[in-house]
Amino acid sequence: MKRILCVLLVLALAASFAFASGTQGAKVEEVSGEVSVTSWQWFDPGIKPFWDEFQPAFEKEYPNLKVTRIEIPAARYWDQIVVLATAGPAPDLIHGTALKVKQFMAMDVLDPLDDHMDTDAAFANSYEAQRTFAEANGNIYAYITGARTLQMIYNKMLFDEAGISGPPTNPDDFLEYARKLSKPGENQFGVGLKANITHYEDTYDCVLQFPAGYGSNFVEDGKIMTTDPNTIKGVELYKKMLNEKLSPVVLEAANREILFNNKMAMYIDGPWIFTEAKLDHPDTYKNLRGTATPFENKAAIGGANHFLMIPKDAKNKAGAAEFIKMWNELEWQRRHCMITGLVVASPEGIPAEKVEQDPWFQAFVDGMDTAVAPIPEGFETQASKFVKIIVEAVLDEIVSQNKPTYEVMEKIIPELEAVR
Amino acid sequence: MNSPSSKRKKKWTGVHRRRTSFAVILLLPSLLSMGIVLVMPLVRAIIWSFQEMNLLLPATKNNFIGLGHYVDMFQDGTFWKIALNTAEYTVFGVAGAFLIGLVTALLLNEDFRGRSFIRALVISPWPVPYVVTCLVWMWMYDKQFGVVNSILLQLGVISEQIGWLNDPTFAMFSVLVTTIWKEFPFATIMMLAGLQNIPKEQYDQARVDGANLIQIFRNVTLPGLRSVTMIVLLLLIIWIFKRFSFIYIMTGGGPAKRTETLIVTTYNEAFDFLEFGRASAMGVIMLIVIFIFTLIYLSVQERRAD
Amino acid sequence: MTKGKRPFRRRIKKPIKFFLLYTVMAVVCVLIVFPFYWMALSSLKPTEIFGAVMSLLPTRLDPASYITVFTEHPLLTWLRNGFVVALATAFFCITIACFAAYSLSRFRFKGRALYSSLLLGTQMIPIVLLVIPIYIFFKELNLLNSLVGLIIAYITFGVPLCTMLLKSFFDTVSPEIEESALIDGCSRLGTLLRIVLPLSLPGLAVTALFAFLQAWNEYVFAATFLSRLQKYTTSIGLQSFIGMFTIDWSSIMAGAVVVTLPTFLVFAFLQKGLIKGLGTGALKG
Repeated sequence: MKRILCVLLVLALAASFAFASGTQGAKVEEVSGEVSVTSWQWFDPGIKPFWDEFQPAFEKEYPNLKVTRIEIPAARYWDQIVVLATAGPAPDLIHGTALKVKQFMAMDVLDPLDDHMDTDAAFANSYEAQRTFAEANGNIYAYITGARTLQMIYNKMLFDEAGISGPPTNPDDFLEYARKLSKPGENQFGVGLKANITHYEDTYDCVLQFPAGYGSNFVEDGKIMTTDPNTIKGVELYKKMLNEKLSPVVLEAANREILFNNKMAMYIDGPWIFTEAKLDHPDTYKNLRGTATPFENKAAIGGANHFLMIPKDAKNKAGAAEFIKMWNELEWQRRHCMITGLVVASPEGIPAEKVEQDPWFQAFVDGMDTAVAPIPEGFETQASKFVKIIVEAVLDEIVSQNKPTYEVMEKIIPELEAVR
Repeated sequence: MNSPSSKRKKKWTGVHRRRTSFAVILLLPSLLSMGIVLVMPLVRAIIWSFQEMNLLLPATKNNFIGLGHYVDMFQDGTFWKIALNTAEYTVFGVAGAFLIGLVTALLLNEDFRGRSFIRALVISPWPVPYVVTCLVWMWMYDKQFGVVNSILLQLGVISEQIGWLNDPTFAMFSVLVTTIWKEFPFATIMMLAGLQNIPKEQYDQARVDGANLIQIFRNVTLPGLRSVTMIVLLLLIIWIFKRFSFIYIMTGGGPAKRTETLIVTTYNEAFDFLEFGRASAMGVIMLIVIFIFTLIYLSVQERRAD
Repeated sequence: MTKGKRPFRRRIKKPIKFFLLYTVMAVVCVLIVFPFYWMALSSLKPTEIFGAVMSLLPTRLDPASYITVFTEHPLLTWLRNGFVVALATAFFCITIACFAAYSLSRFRFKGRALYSSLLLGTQMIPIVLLVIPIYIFFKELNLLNSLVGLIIAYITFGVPLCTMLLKSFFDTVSPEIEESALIDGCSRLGTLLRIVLPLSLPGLAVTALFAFLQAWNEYVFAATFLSRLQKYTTSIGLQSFIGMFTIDWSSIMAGAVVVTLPTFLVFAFLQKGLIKGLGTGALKG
């Protein structure tokens, strides 16, 4: 009886080991093996098509390399890549945003690209940002796969219906048009604002748009400006639009759904909206137009925002570098731009045909000139906290609880100082 | 049980010692697994709670700051707000789960046709994974397209869609409903088993004595359920106090920390802000609270039993 | 002790009581079961979901979401992973726990109270406190992203509860039979295996079910330790359906149905024995 038990135990153990043994990454010899990548872009219908083209082409070019996508559920992506980069197991390439790049650089978990490729040669003709944004100690730590600013996307059909000839160019028109274009009875919204407290970064970008439009910011030149009259003006406009229910208050995905159903007249977001519309919602696509943000200074939030990075503990850094090198080839940059509408690392990567084919793209190209970086200098390390403090102050205390804007903005000054 | 004492008197040294070490040997596998995977990490976490451990600021890592984190927390107004939320969530969650469990158990204790089938339906939330529960309820609570708003609108109860999960007035309520829905079957099952353990003779005796339904309930049913109730309440309180998935997945602690409980804050401090020191301190505080509560609870129960 | 029909009911007004009982039961059941109904209905209406008002009754059902769910996501892999982990957890928990429970039940030894308090103590620890240290620990052992690591974690946290449950079940088995067996020359271990275990089979089943469900439902460890999609269990697999930019509710509901159905059916069959089993043992402790 005892013997039978022992045998059973051993069998059970063996069985669970057999089931559970995962794929170990192949030993790296030269440029071969597995290149594991994490990205959120596989979930974005507006950007995924590029990956689906690039990846097989890469594997064809390098038959010894196999690209593995590490898919992380959207809700956990931003937390999980931090865990992977710090506590491990590190992927070979991490796709992240500007905020994450700064964080990772501060935590010293990235490998400089210079160790694995000739960055001077590769980035000789790139935009300035490629050489300076993720630079430290003479090394470059991240590669820009996409730069963008958030511009005004509007639905011409809804505008025509309401008898409005063109998009707003100043905040007063912005408010007035939003009111005219909202039809609560038909579930139609004049504008789409990001006011989701669980998705901090996106909401922050949207909130920042308003002070920026009035020429201000939360922090300028190292000084905290939350109580600046223009900042307050901006926040109050944001609050007013939410209070008058001119915008839905939902998750990003639902915002897009409403937009693609021709039920949202204006939305400030990136070029992937057009790409997704073209692919999946052609009826809405023909109604959508792109233009500058509805402020006189046309300030737009953004800049370089999508980066590929190689973590220090990556197993196949050589393979990862090859991936970046191929992505950087002008051919592929042009393809990326054509498909996604993102501005890429080099100016030559933007094909002329893009604007011809998609007139809305012009707004995004122009926008690079008036780009406002979301995270101010000096706050990058604890940017998560910075963003959270502002979003909570605005959404919770100012909008929800209706506390006086000036008081709240004043109150958070010491909190923001603490995360400098 | 009469065997150990009688044998002990006969053969003191030899058998007793052998039996003791044998008894302890039997405990070894469990001690081993608990020791390695539970105690060691726990000790590590406790040590971290006394250190500065913000992974975003590697320079200050592992600085010993003693009770620094604890003092910070007690002086932080937000911490107390969250503690209040936790108390609210626990009290209402446990009360709801317990009461519904009791009522359903009483109903299911009656003998009627189809009882087995109905019983299976009543405890059906139990084998559902937490994630599935959260997803289904999130879909039902959806402001624009959810069925709850749809039904209430059609019935004329509300005139405008309510954001069940993102309106500060309703968020806690919504999360509590989901929590209770998922947690009450445990109470039902335990109470039902307890009810079935009450000897039929006691009911017969009560009837013979001329008691009516309410009196029977008060004098036979309730006392008979006493010990089960104690266990069920204790476990429910500990579990719901620590409950993470519902709030984290459904509201993330929002809107504006309205539904945030201690455990969610602990998680956010660790994974969002990479403040492992502070997060560990918060976890330790939770542990101490549960520990003290259990001590008090058990001693009250002991005293009552005398 | 007869448990069953209580004859005195015939003296009370039977029809009214039954009517009341059935009505209340019906309402309660509808409220409890409605989410399942809505889950199933939503999974079969992929296009209607964002329309005006989705009707409460089944009209024009469309299984398209189920096809999506199986072709675009490795749902079967997740189901397999989930079952493997939960079954292994239940098996090992029972095995380890029954030795400890036997010891607690049959022996009085120094440190017995200490051990019992230790068991209760483990139930009090908030899991989130331990997630990071265990994560780092597992990383050093290369147990991350593996079902084995998850199983080890689940066993560690499942054994205390199982031990407590099993102890109370063992307590109900009268020791006299073991006495005579011991006198006849049977070893202690033998009495455990040949007498106590067979006699407490319902209790074993209940405990196994608890352990299984605890592992099957668990979220925090699974979400933290598993980062490759192929390794996901059902618990977190469904969470991956929520995209950053798209939420396909119909597919999510279809996935939820597929995940809930098997355990639900098994549970429905076992629930009678579950309650009976609990009655015999756990509550006497």
